[in-house]
Amino acid sequence: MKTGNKFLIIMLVVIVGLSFLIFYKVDEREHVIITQFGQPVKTITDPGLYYKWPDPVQTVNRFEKRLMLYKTRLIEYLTQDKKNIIVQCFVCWRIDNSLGFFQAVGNNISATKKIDDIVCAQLGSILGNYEMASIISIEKDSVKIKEIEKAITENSNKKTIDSYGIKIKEIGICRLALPQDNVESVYKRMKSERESIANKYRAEGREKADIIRSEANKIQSDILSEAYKDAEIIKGEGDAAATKIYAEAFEKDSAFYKFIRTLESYKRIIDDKTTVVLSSKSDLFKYLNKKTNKVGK
Amino acid sequence: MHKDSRNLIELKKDILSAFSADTHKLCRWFAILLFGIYLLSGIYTVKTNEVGLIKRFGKLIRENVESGIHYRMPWPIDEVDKVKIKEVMRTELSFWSDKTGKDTLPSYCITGDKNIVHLKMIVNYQIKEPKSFLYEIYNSEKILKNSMYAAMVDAIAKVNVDDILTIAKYRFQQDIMRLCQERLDFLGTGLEIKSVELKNIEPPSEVLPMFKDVVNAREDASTMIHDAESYSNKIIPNAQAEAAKAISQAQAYKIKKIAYAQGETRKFLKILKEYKKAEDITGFRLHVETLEKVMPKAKKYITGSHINGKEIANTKFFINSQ
Repeated sequence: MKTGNKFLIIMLVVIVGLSFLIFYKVDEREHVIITQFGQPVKTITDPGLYYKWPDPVQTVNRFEKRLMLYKTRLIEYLTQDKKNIIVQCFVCWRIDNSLGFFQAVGNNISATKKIDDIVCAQLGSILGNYEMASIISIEKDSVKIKEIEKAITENSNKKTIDSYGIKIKEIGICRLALPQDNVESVYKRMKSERESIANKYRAEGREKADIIRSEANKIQSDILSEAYKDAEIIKGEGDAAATKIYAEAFEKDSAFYKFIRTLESYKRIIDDKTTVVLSSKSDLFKYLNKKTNKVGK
Repeated sequence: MHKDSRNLIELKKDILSAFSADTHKLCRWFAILLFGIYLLSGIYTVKTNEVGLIKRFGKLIRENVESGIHYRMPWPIDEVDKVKIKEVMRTELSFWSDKTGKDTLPSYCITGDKNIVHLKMIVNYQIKEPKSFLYEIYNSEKILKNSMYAAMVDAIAKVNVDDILTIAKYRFQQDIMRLCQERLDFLGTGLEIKSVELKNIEPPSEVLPMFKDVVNAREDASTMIHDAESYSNKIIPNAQAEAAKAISQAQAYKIKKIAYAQGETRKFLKILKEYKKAEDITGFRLHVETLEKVMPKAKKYITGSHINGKEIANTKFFINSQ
């Protein structure tokens, strides 16, 4: 009983230990290559539980299955129209053929070196086919960054897939810059551009203000002259109506009108500065003469 | 001393004898307990903002385990990966040159009209597909950031500097969001951008004063226009008021003229009516009355009407011509 128990426990330990040596897991995020004394014998891409000969005989080599990112250095390139531009790219890549990768590259560090060489060379040759205006332009349709990225990706893949088992999913330009000398001249140009824009705004403002003022002055003078015209017409109407009324009334006896109008005018003409020389024979004084007793003429 | 050591030996014996009877029994219970603990280690919890994924021997067997308490096979059979699916993550991106640092990297964007600007953006994103997020991409944040940078470079290379500094900010953000999401989807990252904000955008410090002057110039222009408008708004109503005044004065003049005429003519007609009744005497009376009124003011010389046979003053003037 006692010995049987002990045997059972030992067996259990041995089985568990052996199973750890024989069985191995392949995760969702990795590829596995089994090597037998260094020689690859089996490639596993599906996750799950697998078995092999214990370690010194067969070894598990794990490779990242997920998409990885590499960033190139900032490198100055020449465009087709001989303009310098500094470009930095990111490369999204993954191990496509793990056996090829295992044999030709080995690990991720040397993979990124190879990617760097290929992508930078491609970038240089592709950019040489495009003008500066295909990278930077205010005309939306002439900017072909996407096209350039695609071309570099395709060309790079031609080299990496077959030789290294690396598939580049996407290359993106994540930084564009100008050489330092160019930056200075860009600043200079920006300054003069700004100055001319500022001057333009001010001149336009002044012009608009002047237009508004002169418009206002014109409206003002129009209103006033129109009003003057209307006022004069109204006054004229008044004068005409008055004249008509006077004429109609005075026509009834023009002699009498002349008489009293003349009398009326004396009141205005003669004042304290007036000297009147009167003949004693005037009708006014005719009664001064004693000879004349007769009333009337 | 001797007694103590003997006591100790006896105690040890007692304990051993007490246990030896049940040793194998105890071992069994202990083993069962250990196995029980091992089985219980399969219990796990998923928090409310998380989702769980179960792998059996590395192979995904269950996605979308909702929050709560759950059971799986214990290690090394099953494994749980938890993803914070509801959490909105935030990352800042900048094309901003910090003068303090070594400043070896040119950190700016080039606009479509070849101007240089610095900008800072914030991106808020969420994990949409936990499976892709976990098993398709190696460093999600790095990929997201670089996709954003590429989207920014792409979007800004098409706009001119005035638009992006002023009116086109919103459109620019939308463009970046769209371009970046396209890239993320193409790469199969399982990430979804919630929003993109342009936190700061500025021209380089070397040319900043000129950019500010442009803003000032725009202000100046609108001030000038505003002043002109207020001038216009002042003088036109004034002119209208003046015009109305002139018209009403003219109307008053007209009414006055007519009223005077009517008054005077009516007076005349009334006098005429009475005059007709006694022409001679009334004429005389009016004449004399007028003279009485007029003459007191004036200096008067009364002479004979003729000197040397000549009339010296045309006194007829004062004489009723009748």
